Amino acid sequence: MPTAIGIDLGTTRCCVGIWRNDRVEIIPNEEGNPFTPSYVSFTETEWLIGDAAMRKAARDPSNTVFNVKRLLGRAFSDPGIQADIAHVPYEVFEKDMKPHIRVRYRGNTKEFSPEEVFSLILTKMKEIAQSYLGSIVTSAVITVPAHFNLSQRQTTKDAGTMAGLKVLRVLSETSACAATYRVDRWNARDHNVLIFDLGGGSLSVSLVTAHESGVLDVQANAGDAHLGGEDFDDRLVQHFSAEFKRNHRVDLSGNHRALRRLRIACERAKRTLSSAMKTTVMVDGLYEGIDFETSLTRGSFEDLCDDLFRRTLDPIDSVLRDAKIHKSQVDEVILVGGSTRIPRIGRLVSEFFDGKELNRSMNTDEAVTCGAAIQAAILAGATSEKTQGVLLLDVAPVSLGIETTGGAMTPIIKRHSTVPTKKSQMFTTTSNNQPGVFVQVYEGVHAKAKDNNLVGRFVISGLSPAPRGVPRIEVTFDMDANDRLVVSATDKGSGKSQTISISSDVRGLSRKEMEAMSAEAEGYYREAAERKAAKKSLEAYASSLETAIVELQNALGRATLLMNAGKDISAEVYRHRQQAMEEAAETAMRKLSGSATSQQGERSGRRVSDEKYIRSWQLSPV
Amino acid sequence: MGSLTCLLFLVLSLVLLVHAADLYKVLELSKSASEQDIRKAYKKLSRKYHPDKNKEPGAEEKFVEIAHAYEVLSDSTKRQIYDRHGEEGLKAHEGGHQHHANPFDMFQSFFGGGGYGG
Repeated sequence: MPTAIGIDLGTTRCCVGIWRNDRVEIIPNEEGNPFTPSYVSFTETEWLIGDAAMRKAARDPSNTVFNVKRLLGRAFSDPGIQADIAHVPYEVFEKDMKPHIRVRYRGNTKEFSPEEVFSLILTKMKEIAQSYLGSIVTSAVITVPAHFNLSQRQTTKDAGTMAGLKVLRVLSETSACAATYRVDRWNARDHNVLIFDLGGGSLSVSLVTAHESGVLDVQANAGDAHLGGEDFDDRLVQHFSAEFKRNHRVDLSGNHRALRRLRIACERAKRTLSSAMKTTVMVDGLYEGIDFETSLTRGSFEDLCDDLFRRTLDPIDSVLRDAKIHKSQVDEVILVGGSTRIPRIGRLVSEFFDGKELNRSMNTDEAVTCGAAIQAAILAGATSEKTQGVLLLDVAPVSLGIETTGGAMTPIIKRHSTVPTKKSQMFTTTSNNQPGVFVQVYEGVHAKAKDNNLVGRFVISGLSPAPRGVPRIEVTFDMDANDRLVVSATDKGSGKSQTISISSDVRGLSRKEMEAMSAEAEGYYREAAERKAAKKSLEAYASSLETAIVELQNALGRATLLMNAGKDISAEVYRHRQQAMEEAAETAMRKLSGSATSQQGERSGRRVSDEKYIRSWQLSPV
Repeated sequence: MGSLTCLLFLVLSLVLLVHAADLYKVLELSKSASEQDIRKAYKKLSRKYHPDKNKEPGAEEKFVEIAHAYEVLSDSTKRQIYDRHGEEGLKAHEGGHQHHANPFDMFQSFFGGGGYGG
């Protein structure tokens, strides 16, 4: 049996485990720690990962990379990314529309993508496991926040592959917790479990129905990509920087080394306040020999972070709503993740569930790794009685669909559908004799396609000429348990079809591909388009003429009525009527000439831009 | 002639009935199955056919069918529509908004949406 490990790839730290002898063993790193900081530091001679890199963070901030998980699989233009960049001391720049990192390494400037940095960390985790186990590790299950979309999951998988691992599954952190819960505590009845995972960088909430047979049915997920221990630390750093400025008239912003040291002190204070009511924050020689020392009470920490703490309840609300389950139907509330040690968080969650007692029986820090290791064993085909019964029915993390008339997003696979799944829907054309359809695949929950994430697109050309609404184009989405998505579209009339599989590198078409596509379509389109344009122009002119005639007839009718009305009518009224008629005639003529010019404009516009033309090949639901 | 119509109707309704039985057949259930039966059957069959548990070719397709049958039959509204109108009825229900070709679209696009008041 191949050796398969489970890796919890956290924003702030990573953990690796393996299922052996009917239980999960958490594997310590070379310093004996179960957790390895998600830090990579580049030096003149080598790169350092984990504890050694973290120790370099204060001395060499611009070459020490951390919090990379927040950059993974996202667009550079994402407003969230921009906020993150402002917070990190290393250089983040835009390349291929994605964020990249620039550091000094071995005397040269070197650029890394977030997944490359992650692959370094994953390689390290693999090595930790190999030296502990004394054998080669070939495959792994890697966990990600439940709200990670397909691109982010795919990017994570790419990082694993770069690290020389066969990625058996990219698993939601909360789903991993559910597996741990199932193996730890067998419960012979169906019950609803809410998992609340607040870590260093993000919050994930899942509702899972645990079935007595061992089946775990994930009902809904929600989360906040920007809410975790790091954000609470940020608050404290901001607060104390302001205090330092007040007392010493020194602005620490821009002084990465001082900020780094202050942050470490703040994080330590935060941890202390989970058990103590009061603590001291102390940094020797914070700035040019000035020592910093102040006290912090649990109450003032809670006040400083009050809005952030309350925000942790929003995903609970949305999970219950999506799963159509009332909070009173939740049998167990499980807290995991380091930040759930904060007493206020526990109180808020308990109050939300009307004072319900929370389940803190799982190891807060290791639950995700355990679940990943369990799932890795199952997928690698381990034959353990304990894991055999466990089956995790996971869901699609986001809705997947295509753009239809008016830029709307029509979901084909809805969010929270159990995977693997396959769904089809029939579509049709939106204009007469439309020569093709342009299928644009998006992931996301927004009603407008452009607010979602474009994951792929393709064209079917050579549709037989037909009035709009007549052609039948069947679009099928096929998604497997590994989030691999295959999209196909078939024109039922001509039998023409196209299939693409969505992966992170098929993110949209390049200009070149677009040109090639349009060239392919050109032969057909030139002839058809010209005929179509000519016909459309005639139709348009005829119909505007018709409208004009109707309008004139109306005006004429009113005038006739007035003329037949008798002698009591004043000259003023006749004059007024004539003026109205003149205006009506003028408007009608103006409209006629206007319609002719707008037609010409459209025709010449089409020649200018094939891309725009293909974009007009819209789809509409049948 | 009357008997022919009758026969045709009979055949049609039979076709519908057979169709309506399909999703039940996927879950190995009869049409009178209770909510609990449906849940039980789904869990049992998922364990048998989910690709994590069954690497045989065709298992994944089978699971997709099972999950679809469960999605419909575990939702009382969808189940009712399916029982009465079959898969087609369900599609119409899911699709929701029907898009009709609107003869007035043309005027609107040529007159900049200005309409044609008189």
